[in-house]
Amino acid sequence: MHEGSIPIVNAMSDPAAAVPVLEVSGLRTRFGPLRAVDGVSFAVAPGETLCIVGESGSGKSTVALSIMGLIPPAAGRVEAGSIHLAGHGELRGLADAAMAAIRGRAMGMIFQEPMTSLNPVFKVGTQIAEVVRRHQGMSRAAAHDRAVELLRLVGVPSPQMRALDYPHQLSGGMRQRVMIAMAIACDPMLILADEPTTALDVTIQAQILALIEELKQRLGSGIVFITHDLRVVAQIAQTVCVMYAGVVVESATTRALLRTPLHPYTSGLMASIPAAQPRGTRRRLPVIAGTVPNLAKLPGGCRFRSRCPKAFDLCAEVEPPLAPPAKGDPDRLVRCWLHADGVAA
Amino acid sequence: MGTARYIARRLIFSACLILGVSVILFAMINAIGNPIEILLAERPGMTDEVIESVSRYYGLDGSVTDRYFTWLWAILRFDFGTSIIYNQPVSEMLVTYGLETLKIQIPAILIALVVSVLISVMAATRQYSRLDFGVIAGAMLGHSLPGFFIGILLILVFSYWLGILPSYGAYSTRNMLMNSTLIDGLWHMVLPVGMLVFFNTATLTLLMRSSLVEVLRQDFITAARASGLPERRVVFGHALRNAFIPVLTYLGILFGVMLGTAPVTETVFTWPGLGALYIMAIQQLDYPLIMGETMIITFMLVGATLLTDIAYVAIDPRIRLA
Ligand SMILES: Nc1ncnc2c1ncn2[C@@H]1O[C@H](COP(=O)(O)OP(=O)(O)OP(=O)(O)O)[C@@H](O)[C@H]1O
Ligand code: SF4
Ligand SMILES: [Mg+2]
Repeated sequence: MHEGSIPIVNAMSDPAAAVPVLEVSGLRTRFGPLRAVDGVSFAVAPGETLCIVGESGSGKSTVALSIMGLIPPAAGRVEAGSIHLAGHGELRGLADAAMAAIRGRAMGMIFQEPMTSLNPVFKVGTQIAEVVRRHQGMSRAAAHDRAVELLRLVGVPSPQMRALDYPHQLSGGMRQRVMIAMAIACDPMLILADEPTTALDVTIQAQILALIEELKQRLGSGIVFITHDLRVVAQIAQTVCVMYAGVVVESATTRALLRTPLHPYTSGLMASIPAAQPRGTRRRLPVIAGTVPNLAKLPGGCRFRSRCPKAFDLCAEVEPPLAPPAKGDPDRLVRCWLHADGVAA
Repeated sequence: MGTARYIARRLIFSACLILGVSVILFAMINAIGNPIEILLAERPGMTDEVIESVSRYYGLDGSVTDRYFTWLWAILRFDFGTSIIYNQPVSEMLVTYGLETLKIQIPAILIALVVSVLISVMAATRQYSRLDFGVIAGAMLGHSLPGFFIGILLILVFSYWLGILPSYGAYSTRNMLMNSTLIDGLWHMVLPVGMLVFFNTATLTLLMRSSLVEVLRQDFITAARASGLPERRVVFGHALRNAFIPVLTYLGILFGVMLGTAPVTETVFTWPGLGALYIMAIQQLDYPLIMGETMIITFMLVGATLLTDIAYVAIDPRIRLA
């Protein structure tokens, strides 16, 4: 079975809200010989937070940048698949100018490094105002007022004054709030957040997560939240996609996934969550023994085979499809022979 | 610390620097000996009395310290004495010749700046393309060729072979082109400015391109694109301003050494500027002229450095004013 034809998991409890904001199917992005994203499908409903989890190099950022149309053309390109944004239709194949008009207006992105994601030579208020002016054609003064209002909305204290600060005058947490203000400046229906809390202290992390949740309630946007931290997933996501080596290996509602992980990789990720991480550590914990395979020279069979404690003969021969498990919840998907119909492990 | 205080401190520092140079210059010139003796001693019929009276005329009697302060006080009033060879006030000559030098140097730097920005943007936004490699190779070549070689090449092609541009001087000696001093002057500027533009552009492009390539890789550029800004705005508004920061130092140096590099250009094109005058002054041991020129060059260099420092504060908010 091919991924493209698989029904997309819809995690929303309310089926009436089923018209997704974003629908990605069969997305393939490569950098030269390297298949960074190799057939990824998912959908996000309005008001839903979908988490993409996975180790470093599994292709999470590439998914987000592909959706935004920001894969640097000199480095790589989106080869196949469809990216459907509600109200804008298919985004793949849109001209650069048309894409630029959608970015920042219908979809906003928050990046991992607040320290380097703001332009050091412009005042933060000016940077937010520029986005507003670009998409909503406001006057300079009106855009500045709107920037101050947005700073207040994202919880920046004394926004009037902070708007006149340069990025280097703000703390990491404040800068990330500024980035969020820029991303939501035009009330986007989709917010892509690429590890927005990874670079922050634990206490600040919690505040930013709460802020994103609050904004989602307010704007009713769909959120794609990328993280490598399952504890973050537990806090904010309704749906989870676990990625490994460029593909989705498991997707389910957060509750189902955390209660009964089906894929051996997901189990490994969960086993590696420490009971408590000392405050302020940003270290990525060693997850599972072994390393991600070379994406340019993938062997046949299951991508996780070399690290899988449960691998058996079939795993080396044929790549398992992403399909509902043979036993259990038909709404979830897993890419593992252990859970395939009629395959005895 | 406020910007005003910062600038005030830099001004005081610059003044001290100029003062220091004046002391060293005076000491060095003094070490060579009494110029009047050197210039007049070999001529027939020179008595000690004549030498003494001429020395007094040029203010060369008295102790070294006295003479230094007399000279310093004079140059503070923009009085550099009288040229021995030309028998004209040095200050007047510095202005006349200085304007001729600025006339080719300033346009050359400004044109080179605009051209190199455009070339750098084209190359850096197409990194590792054929165009980019061509730009790098061309800029390297232009940067490493000696300036006078370009000048002679220009004269060969445009004056000698094609015969469309004048190869020397700032104005026609007989008939002005189209009977207009302005047009004739511009016509004479083309080749010397061309040579300087070529050289300046090559170096500025090398710096600007690599700086721009570096900036275009930064996260905030991706973030600017993600917020939907048009590519033109991303490159010219967000990237260029940052890319300009490391180039600023070199631009400051270009303005500062303008008079230092002038001798080559002005010799090649027989241009009546400070550079050519400096060489003349040294060859003829025209002490007041040498000292006047040296002080002007020092002044330009220190002034350019000061302006560069102030420009940094204006362009890069991260600079701590200390
Ligand atoms: N611009 C690029 N040029 C070449 N290869 C790239 C580029 N960007 C990403 N890749 C490669 O694509 C693969 C997926 O990278 P990606 O950044 O999407 O991973 P990720 O899951 O976001 O990892 P992380 O958790 O470290 O952010 C990696 O092997 C990476 O080296
Ligand atoms: S298919 Fe086989 S190797 Fe792959 S995860 Fe399942 S058991 Fe492990
Ligand atoms: Mg990433």
